[in-house]
Amino acid sequence: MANDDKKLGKLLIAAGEASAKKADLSATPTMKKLASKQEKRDCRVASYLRQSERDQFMELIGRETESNAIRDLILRFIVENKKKA
Amino acid sequence: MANILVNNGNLGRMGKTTIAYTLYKHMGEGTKYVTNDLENASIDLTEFVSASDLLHVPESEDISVDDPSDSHIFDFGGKPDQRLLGVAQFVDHIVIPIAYQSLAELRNTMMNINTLSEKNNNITIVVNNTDAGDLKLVKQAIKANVSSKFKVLELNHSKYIRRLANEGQTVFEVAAASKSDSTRLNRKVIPQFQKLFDTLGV
Repeated sequence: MANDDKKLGKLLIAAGEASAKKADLSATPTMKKLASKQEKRDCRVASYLRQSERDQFMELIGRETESNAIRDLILRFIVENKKKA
Repeated sequence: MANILVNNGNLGRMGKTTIAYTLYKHMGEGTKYVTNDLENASIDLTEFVSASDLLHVPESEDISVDDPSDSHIFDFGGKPDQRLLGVAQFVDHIVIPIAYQSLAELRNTMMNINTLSEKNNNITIVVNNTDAGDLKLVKQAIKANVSSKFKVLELNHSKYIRRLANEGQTVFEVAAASKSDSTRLNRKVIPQFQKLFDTLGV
């Protein structure tokens, strides 16, 4: 009888605590589903940037395309070095 | 006509299919058996439920009820399914079976009751497949922590219930086939199932 009371006490505490919580019964998104929602990385070796990061960078440097920006940087480098020379 | 969901959240091996299949057999013609979990069911439903009644709804599909005059038993669970709460809202009753082994099942069951009751308040909890010494105590602990509107029933641990998984026979079919089995089953298990049917109005 004393054992039953002790057991019931434990059951009442467990049930009481859990009844204040909720189970998440919505489906857990799978890895595949999560991946498809995420922005993909550019596969080119030259750039490990996300599209949004690249766009942000281009906007920051005021250029339309990556290649133009790089070309411009190289030209500027050459011109400046010529001046020094 | 009755639509009943048998579910205990994502918990498996709680007795969902045993109860759902017994309800399906009891309710008879015009009852559809809808499941999202053919693979893990305790019985081969494709063998025991007629092809015209069995609706397997894989996760990618929407669920629609073709004939509203049909009854539906939704045997849902064992895995997360985003349609579960929608089904809980649609049905007339939710039956939540718990096979108590440890406090873990009790805790999860209480949380599942809490979540499902937000969608539907017609809830019947069935404590089944539980040691006789724990049965009354588990029932008492659940009752003390749920709305008084919810019914908490019991279903004795019985070798006859296992016949369903092992031989495809419900306790009613076992009782009909043997007089001695019928006498034993009519002491507790059959009246307990009858109480469940009465509670659900089926």
